[in-house]
Amino acid sequence: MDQLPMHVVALIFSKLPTKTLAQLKCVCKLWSQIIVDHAIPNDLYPRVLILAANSSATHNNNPTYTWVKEGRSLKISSNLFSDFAKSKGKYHLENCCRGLLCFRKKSSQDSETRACLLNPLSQKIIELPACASQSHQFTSHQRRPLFYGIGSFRRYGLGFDGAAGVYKVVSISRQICGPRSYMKAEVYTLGTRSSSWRTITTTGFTLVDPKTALFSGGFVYWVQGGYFPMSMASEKMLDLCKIFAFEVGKEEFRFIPLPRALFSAPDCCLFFQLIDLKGALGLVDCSASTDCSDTDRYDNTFKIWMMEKYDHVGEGEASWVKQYTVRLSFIRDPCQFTFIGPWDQLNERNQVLLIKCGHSFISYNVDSRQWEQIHTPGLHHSKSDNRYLLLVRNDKRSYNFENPDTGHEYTVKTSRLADKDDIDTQLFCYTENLLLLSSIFKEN
Amino acid sequence: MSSSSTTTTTTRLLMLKASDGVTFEVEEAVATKLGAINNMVEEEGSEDLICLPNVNGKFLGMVLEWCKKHANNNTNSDKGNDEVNKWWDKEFVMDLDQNTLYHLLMAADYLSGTELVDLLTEKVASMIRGKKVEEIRETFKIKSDFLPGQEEEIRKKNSWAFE
Repeated sequence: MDQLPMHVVALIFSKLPTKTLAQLKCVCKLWSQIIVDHAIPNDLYPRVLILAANSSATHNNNPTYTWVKEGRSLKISSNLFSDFAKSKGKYHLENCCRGLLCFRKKSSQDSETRACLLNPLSQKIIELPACASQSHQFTSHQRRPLFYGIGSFRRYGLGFDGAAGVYKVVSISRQICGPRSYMKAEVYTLGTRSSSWRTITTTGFTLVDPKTALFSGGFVYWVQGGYFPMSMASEKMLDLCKIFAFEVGKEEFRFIPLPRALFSAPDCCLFFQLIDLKGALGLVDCSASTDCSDTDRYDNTFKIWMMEKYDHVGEGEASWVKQYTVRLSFIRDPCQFTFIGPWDQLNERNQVLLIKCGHSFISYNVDSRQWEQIHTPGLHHSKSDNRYLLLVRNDKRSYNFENPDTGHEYTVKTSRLADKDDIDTQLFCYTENLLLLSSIFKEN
Repeated sequence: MSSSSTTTTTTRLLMLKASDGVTFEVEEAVATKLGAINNMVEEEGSEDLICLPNVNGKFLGMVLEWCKKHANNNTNSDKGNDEVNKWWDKEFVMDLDQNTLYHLLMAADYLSGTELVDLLTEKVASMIRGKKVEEIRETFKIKSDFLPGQEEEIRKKNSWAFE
C-alpha cells in the first residue's frame, strides 16, 4: 500500500469510520501522518456521534460529559476529555459544529473570557486570543456607574462556512454601563495563518441574555432570554422574542421571528427549544404542554416546526412549517424533556430524534411515532434490572425511576453518590461528522 | 432496439497507447468515462492517438474493460441495469490481488476515472474494516516503525477508540 499516492490513501481512509481511523494511527508512522495531515472529507459516511453537556456542578473541574454512539446505545466516555479536564480554567460549553466543540473559558488571571475549541477525538485544544473589544475601561476620575455589568454578557458561537470550507468563531457581547449599553460582535476565521478578531457591524441589533448557541445549516442561532409578563399582548411578544441569527458565510446578523402560532394560545407560557434537523432549523414548541390549567391531565405534546428558507431580502416573516407532533405521555414535567437532534445518520431518510427524558435517553421515530429507550452503559442506573425504566431525577441518596408503560414511579436508594448523572439539561451539545484532525489545528 | 441504435450511430474510435507499447482501440464514449481522456479529447479534438506513458498495458486493459461495461449500460436507461452494474463491479474487484488492486487504483487515479477510483478505494477500505491493528499490519504487510513507547502513547491518547 506504500506505493499508493498519499491523496489516494486519504481517499481510502475517508471511507472508514472515525473510530477506525483513530485506531489506524497506531499502524505505522506514514498512516498516522496521513490521518493527521489530511482533512479527511467525511460528509458521506456515518461518523461518531458525540453528546456533550455542561456539568451543573460549577465547582467541578471536568467541564463536560460525553457520550459516544455505539450502534444503538450511548456509551459514556471519560477518555475523550481527559487532557482537556486537566488544563486549568473554567470551561463553559457554548456549542458544537461539525465535530468541534466551542467553549467559553474563564481563567483566574484573565478578566475576560476566551473562546476555546476542542476536537474531542484528537484532544487538540485551541485557545483563541482575547477579543479586540475588551471591557470598557474607566479612567481614574470616572466613577463606575451603579449596576455596572448587570446584564452584560459575552458569548461565543462556532459555525462552519460551507462555501469557503472554514470554521468561524463569532463573539457577541453587550456591555451595560448605567444607562448606556454597547453591543459588539467580532469574527475569527480559523485556519488562516494571520487570523485575528475582526469587528463586524451590529447596528440595529440589541440582544438580551442569549442562551446557548446552535449551529444549523450555515447559521449560528441564539435564543434571547429575558422575562415577559403573562399579560403582554401576543403581537408585542412576537416582536420581542426573536431568534438572533448569524450567517457564517456573509458575516451578517438578523432577527428571525418565531412562529406566530406560538403566541396564539391564551395565557401561553412561552417555552421552546431549537434543534438542528439535518441542516434545517427546527423549533420544538413545548409550551402547549405547559398549560397547567388541568394539573391532573398533562399531555406532553410537542410540536416541531421547521423553518423554510428564510427570505433575507425583505423583512418578511420567516416561514415556519409544522413538521411533526411528538406525544410522550410519560414523565409529567415537560421541562424534563430535551430535544437534542437527529439520532439516525445523516444519509438515512427516516427522521428519528434523540430526546433526553429526565436523565435517560430515548429515540423517537416521527413517522411511526414509536419511541425506544437507548441503552446507556456506564450510567449507574442503566443496570439490566431497570433497563425499561426512565430515570426521572436523582438526588444524593436515591434515584427516581418511572415506568413509561404504567406511569408508576420507583425510588431506589443508593449508598453511592453518583454525580456523573448530574447534568445541566439546558446546555446540551450534539455533534457528528467528526474531523479527526483537520489542517486548521496545524496552523493555529 | 437499443443495440441496433448504437450500431447505426457513427462512433469515433480512439487509439490509446500504454507505456509498454500496447495499443487499444476504443469508442470515444467508452474512453471519455475517464476524466483525463475526456479533457484531452475536448482540448485537442483532432488527435486520435493518445499516449499514456504512466499506465501499463495490463492495467489499462482492465480500466478500459470497466469503462466499456459502464459506458454501455449508461445508454440504456433501464433501472435494472443499475443492479447489474453493481453486481458486475462486485465481481470485478472480488478476486483482485493487492498488487493488481494498487496498480489499477493508480491507473484509475491518473486517468481521473472517479467512479472507478471510488469502487477500488471502497474495496481497500473493506479490507481494513473490522480488523485490529495487528491484523491490518499483517494484511498489508506493514512493519511498525514506531520507537518503543510511541505506539503506547498514541493508543493512550486515542483510548476511546480502543474501548
